[in-house]
Amino acid sequence: MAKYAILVDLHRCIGCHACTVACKFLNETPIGVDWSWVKTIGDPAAEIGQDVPSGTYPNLQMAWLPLLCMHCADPPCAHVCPVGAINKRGDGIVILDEDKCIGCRFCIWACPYEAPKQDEDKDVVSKCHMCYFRVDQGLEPACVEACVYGARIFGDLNDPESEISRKSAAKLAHPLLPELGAQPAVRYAGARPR
Amino acid sequence: MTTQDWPLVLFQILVQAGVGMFLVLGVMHTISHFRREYEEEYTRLALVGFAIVFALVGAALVISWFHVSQMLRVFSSAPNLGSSWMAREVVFIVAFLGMVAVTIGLWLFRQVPYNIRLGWGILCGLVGLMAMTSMSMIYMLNNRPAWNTPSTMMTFMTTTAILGILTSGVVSGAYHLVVGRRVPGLSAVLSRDYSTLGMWALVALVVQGVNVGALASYLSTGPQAARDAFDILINTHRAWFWLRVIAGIMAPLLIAAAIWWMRGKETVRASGLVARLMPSGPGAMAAAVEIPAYRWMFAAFVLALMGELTGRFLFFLAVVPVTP
Repeated sequence: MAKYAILVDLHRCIGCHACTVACKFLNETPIGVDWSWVKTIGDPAAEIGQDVPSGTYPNLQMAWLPLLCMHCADPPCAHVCPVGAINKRGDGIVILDEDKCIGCRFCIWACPYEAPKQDEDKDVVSKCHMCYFRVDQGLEPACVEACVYGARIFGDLNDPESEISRKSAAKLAHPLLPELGAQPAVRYAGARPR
Repeated sequence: MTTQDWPLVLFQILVQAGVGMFLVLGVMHTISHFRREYEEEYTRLALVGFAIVFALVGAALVISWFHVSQMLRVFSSAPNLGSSWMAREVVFIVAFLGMVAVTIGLWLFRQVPYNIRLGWGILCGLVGLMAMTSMSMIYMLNNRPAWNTPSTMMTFMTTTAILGILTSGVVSGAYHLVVGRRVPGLSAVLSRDYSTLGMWALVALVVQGVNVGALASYLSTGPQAARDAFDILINTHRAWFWLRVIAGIMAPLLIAAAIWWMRGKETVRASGLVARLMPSGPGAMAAAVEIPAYRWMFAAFVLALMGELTGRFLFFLAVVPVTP
């Protein structure tokens, strides 16, 4: 059985937000609900969404951290859901069934990666599902396909010959916040920007 | 914290008051049974109290619906008992409500042997405690250090105790104002009960105060998210924090201590109005009369309720998650 995952190469991300736009366009998420988004790591005093570097000219620094649902092996969101609306498929994709969701938002509280989002229009919570309907057809998730600089790689971690497996090993890819024990499937190559 | 969280706060406080009062009234009645003291009056008091418990928990469940946006889907919680503490909380609270209704029925029909009523009451109390355990375990989340401590469970249990004790005091005081003055000697027994309730409330409030202090101490030295939460509590919302501590814990603590020290009695000089309320009958003009410390108990209840509401508000407001 496949174990699908996404590798994000932090050295390649240029903060263009093409992944955010592609995801929003394909999944028709409303304003304020971003299943895939990019956090700017720069001036901590800057407002959210603004690209403002930290430091003083000429020693300026700015980086980007793409975020999405980590499709954890032990998803805390699934554990807390009282109605079983969140389930993990055999191939590792974690899916939230909006038709079962009661809108209690405990999954939002439980997720360390801010993946579940409250959809005010539908009065439920929604999140990234790794474009499972595309994956089932042998296609890549929209955010991976849209990435202009190849910062995202999608594949099967159970296949040692797959590009994601080889590059994860070569680039020493690591998950975010491993100490919380959720075992995210999404890996990051390169130092986490601070 | 959003407006959608206020129904959750009210839900929790009402359920905790209900479960606590059920346990306290049950203990009070059990003691009266084994002492063979005014058992009929205590039975009526317990029935009134259990009816109030049913109303509190029922109202809480109705209010909780406003915390979720898809109310009818809540009924699908039962199959997820194995994985979700929130599902367990829902099931235990609904079960507790049903068992309280059965308790009322058993006590209305006195033909049911006392041992069966006692056994059922103990079972119902245990289900209530399981509901409280489930309610607190929901918040043991790895990514929220301010919640993921033993202090959370202690807070929920102590709130149950404080509100249960003081609500029972108010209800029993109100009941005895109506009934007690017609039953010779009952008011003296209530004074003794108030002394006991005052002592229990004193202990519970001391524990709550120590718990708040321990939590603040942990947050101030914990990971970054914990220190951020401490900053929110002590700096950003210091007024609410100190209101919670001083008016919500210390003040009712002092009142509870006074009730205990006064042996649950309050000495008043009778006037025309007070004399009409005296157990000795209307029109009597005693120089000084001892009555149960109703006013003190009610003041402690109001202050503690305000404190627990404030504390729960801060609980949701001050939590800071660990984020990437």
